[in-house]
Amino acid sequence: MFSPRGQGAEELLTRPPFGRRNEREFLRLVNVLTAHHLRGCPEYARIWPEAKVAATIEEAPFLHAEVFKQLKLKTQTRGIDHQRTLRSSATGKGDSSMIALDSYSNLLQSRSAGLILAEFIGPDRQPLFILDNLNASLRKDEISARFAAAMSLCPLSSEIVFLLSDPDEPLSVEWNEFLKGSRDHRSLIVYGSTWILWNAWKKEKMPDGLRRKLKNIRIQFVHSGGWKKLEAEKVSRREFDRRLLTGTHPESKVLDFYGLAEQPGMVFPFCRYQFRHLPLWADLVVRDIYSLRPTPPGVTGQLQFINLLAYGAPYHSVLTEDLGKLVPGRCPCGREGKRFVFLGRIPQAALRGCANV
Amino acid sequence: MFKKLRYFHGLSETICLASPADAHEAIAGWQRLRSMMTRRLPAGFGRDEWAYLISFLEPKNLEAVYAHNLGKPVTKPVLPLKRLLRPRRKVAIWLPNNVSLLGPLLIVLCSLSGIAVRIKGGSKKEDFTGIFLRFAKNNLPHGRLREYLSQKVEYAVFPHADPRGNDFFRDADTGIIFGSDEAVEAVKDFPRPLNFIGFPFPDRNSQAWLELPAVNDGVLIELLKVFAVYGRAGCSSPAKVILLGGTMPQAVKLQRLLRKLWNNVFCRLPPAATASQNVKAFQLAKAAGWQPVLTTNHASVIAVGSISLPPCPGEMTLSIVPATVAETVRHLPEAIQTVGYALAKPQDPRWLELVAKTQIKRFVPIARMHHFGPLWDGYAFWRGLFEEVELSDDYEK
Repeated sequence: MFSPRGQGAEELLTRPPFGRRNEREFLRLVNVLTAHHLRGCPEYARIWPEAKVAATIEEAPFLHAEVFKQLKLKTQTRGIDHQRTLRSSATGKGDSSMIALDSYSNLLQSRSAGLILAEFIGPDRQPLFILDNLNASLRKDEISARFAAAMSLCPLSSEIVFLLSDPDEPLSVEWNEFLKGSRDHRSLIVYGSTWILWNAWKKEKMPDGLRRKLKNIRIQFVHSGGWKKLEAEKVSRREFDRRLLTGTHPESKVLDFYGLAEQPGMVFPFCRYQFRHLPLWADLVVRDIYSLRPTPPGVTGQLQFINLLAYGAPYHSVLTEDLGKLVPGRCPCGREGKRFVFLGRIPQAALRGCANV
Repeated sequence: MFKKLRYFHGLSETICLASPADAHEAIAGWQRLRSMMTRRLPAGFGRDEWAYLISFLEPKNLEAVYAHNLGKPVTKPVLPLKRLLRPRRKVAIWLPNNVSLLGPLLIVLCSLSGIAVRIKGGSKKEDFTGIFLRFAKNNLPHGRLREYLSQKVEYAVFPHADPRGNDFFRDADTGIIFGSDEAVEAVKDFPRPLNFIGFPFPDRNSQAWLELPAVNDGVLIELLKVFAVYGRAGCSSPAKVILLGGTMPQAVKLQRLLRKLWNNVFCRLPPAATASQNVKAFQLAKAAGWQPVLTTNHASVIAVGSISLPPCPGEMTLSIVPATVAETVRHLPEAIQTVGYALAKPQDPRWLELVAKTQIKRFVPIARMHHFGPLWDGYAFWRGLFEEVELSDDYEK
């Protein structure tokens, strides 16, 4: 009988996230996880019937991220207790990923997000204000990826306040809730998806009392999600940060993290040198788009993320439709391990239909 | 008012065409535009689509529209004159999203009838209709064709739910409606005149039928070319290849051959997104029980499986199934449009009998799958742009 406990990720999750690891041991753990999914998920076994023990991390089998939009994969074995399904927001193609969550993986994912984010914003628990609406984010048997991203900050929160009365309307911020919740605090965290945070955090919409109070509160803004809409509005990162920080305590900061809806618990914040770092329990392979052969550091390709946090379904190794590259050498920020830059999505191309007459 | 009367010899009668469009002027106008088109490619068009349009506008192709629909042109009636055709008042054309040349080709075809046209383009992205219309109006010298395009062709783009949709067919006595089943269904209740006739073209799909004795490299290259134009996005593209009377090992052999030929024939890199989507399709096909392979540069997926499997996913996925004729007919989709064939004896009457028993709209050699004649999904749509007037025997010669 398979029991996930003690299979490996747990030990890594007791250590600081960015450091040296035993690569052979990491690969062994990836192979154990792959074997677990091959046994318990019939679709995965049909996709990878030839899968054998990977001799290098590049050989680890993967699933294309959009497979999760078509198939609700589940790894069914004793010891895995499935809970809700995580659903990404629908893309331009009109569909969303479905990730079967389970209680053990949830635990690991929460620990992972907490450890990584604590490295960047400190381990102290603070009030967390989320620019979202709780009721809309939690449907029966499902949670949204947006909500899951916000919940990454849960381990660092002393209390959580949801600020939007309408989840799709950034201007529906209940500022009085913010005022009330921040009353006795000198520092706090505000999280929103990038586009919502930009559109919601408008000083002119805040009550006077709050505007005055902001300069005494150290706010850690955290955001994630695409820049496409903001690029269309010609908003630069500098302008984005400047607007958020204006009028707040001088020690306020903005943190942007990248993550996949298909890999909850994995967050990749920018370090101060604008790189993103892989924690001990994750890896990245960059692949040539047309051959899927691994590319060397410095060469752009399609990103495949691997981690040890996924037991309920085979989302431990996902080939994304994102482009990026590994960066060689050690980062001046001091973090060890692989680092990368994310360069955006593969440009979409739609096939046109018929009409030769 | 009509420009002049033209006569055509049908099978046993003369047909008189009273069209405001002078065919010679219209064809000459398109010919003039054609020579400009060889020198300029408007932004938004791909080279292949532009080249197709240039070739479509050849005078002999446009003359063929009259010949295929009405018969041989003659200077005066010889056979009994029993029918006069005059254009209906206005045709309203509802285009789908995501098509390439449908709009431009319809404009050209309508110009040959002289009928007034109102077109709604796809709202999700600009189709080629607006670009082509602008190009033609800007580049044609003053003359009948330019006048026709400026005064009789209206083009608008608006979303499906826009209130303009409700008035779209109100003063049109003819409608041509393309789109998904849902889109065609959604416009069917829009107000329209009592004498309205409509030609709906909803979702269709097509197949290629092969018999091993008729298969050779030439046939397979044709099949790949026909498929590669639109992948499965085209209604006349082969969504499935049926190996009639074949076995699974023969289908796998065919798959290997097609993959090899693909790699030889198509050297261009596909768009990055297509390559990535094909990796997804490859994995989904495996999950569904198909045996897929990726072609070079992940330009397409070629899969083999049983006819009873669910459709193989992927817009650039060509699926091959071995099946008997009876199984093929039993599994024919309801919305079957074109069957492209490579048969040992295509002239065998049993094929005709078989087509008669099905909903197949077109039964043509593989190379002609995308090339429509006067019949579109069973409708003589171009002739439908005209009202037919019965003439008395007094007109008989």
